[in-house]
Amino acid sequence: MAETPLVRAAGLGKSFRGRRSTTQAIADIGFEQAPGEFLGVVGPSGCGKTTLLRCLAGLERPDTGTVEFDGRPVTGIPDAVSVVFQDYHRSLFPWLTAGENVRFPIRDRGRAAGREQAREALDRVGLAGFADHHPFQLSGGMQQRVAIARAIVSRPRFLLMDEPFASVDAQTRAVLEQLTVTITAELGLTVLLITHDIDEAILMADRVLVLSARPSRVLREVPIDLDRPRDEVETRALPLFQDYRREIHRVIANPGTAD
Amino acid sequence: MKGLAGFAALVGLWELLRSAHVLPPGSAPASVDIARALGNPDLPGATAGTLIAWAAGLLLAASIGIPLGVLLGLSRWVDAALTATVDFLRPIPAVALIPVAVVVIGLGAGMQALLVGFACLWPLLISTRFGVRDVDPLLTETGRVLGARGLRLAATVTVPAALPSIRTGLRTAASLGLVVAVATELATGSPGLGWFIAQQQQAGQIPAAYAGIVVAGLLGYLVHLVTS
Repeated sequence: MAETPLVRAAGLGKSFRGRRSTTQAIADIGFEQAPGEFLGVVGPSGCGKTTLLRCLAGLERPDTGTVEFDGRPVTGIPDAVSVVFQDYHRSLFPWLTAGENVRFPIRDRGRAAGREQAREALDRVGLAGFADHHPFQLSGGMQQRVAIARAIVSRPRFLLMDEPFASVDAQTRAVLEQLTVTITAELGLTVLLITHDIDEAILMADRVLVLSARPSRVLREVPIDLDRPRDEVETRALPLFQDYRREIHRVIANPGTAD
Repeated sequence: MKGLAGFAALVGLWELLRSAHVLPPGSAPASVDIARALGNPDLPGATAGTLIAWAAGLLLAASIGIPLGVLLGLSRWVDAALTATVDFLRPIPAVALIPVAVVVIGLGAGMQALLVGFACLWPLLISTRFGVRDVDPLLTETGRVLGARGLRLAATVTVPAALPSIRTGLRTAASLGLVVAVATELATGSPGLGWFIAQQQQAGQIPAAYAGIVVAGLLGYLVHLVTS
């Protein structure tokens, strides 16, 4: 990659000290991500994917190594970074309406402007007309749409997504995957998507980072050369898609044989 | 309507026990007489006195208890420093402080409001603290990621998320405050329902004393309605 990376992680390591034992979540992770790139991160469950995301978002401080965002080391939560968590029902503010939730990150921008931008963001995720609904009045998929709208409304440069579609049904999931790819491409967003679903990563990402089991390290980086727009049915049927899926499955199943 | 039926049954039981001489007719007046005594000209003033002491005490307790509870919930350090003190002060019945309060502060509305405030402080403080402590960390983390830090995070995420718990504390405090307000009047003669009841009893105006009790009950019911 000739471009200067927007995100750079080097030698990341993170352990959690419990009462009796210390769990090493991340052994050594390093990667670079170019502006506008959609990076998928897959790995076996419990492999420290979420810990990685938390280090990148500035929510957690790594024990070793560095995270750089836009050339500067990450010490707190960078303003231009936004996160979509898996548990939308826990991360939406239940006392606010959908519109107010979306307006939360931009509450400094003035009432009229904020309302307009929130409306536009809700529009983008297909929730025009739902601004006055409270989260509990919306379905799971719609709640996650609100969470996505809230994450993009401030026009961040880097969007982190932690298994964002793991708690919705398969149909909704496919729709939300497409929606996310479309929106982030339109906005030119740099996205890092954590998922345990290999197909999802291949279908959405420009490049897939395959992590090992805990303590995790990068087993392989797989650039995905599938044409866009990709299709839930057609793209999955391509031989190349099958090749990627086979490769990633093999790397995860037999980390020792990774070259 | 069903609530009224229960009330009617209570009045019926009262009359039944009177006519069966289980309740002595001299000290248990007819419900009609009690109802008539509700028109006592001193009763509105007494009610207002109790209400003012109650509201002032509750306001005092809320303005200290809620911010302090938020602080205790947010800061493990402050919490550890104050827990022993809180646990020592909390079980002291506010009513037990009346004699001391009279000596230290003197008779008057201020003393009464302080005692009510003391009683109301604890349920507010404790439920606010636990409410804040129980806020889902994902919620506050979301707030931080979306640009709210420090006081702003507390105001826009932590406190709203803890509000159901704070409201429960407010409800408990509100009814407790009414009890303490009336008890203080009974014991010290501060103007209010408690004093009204004691005076009427001493003057042999038994129906009026009961009317005072009925109004105190109604106040409690209103407080319950308003806070829940």
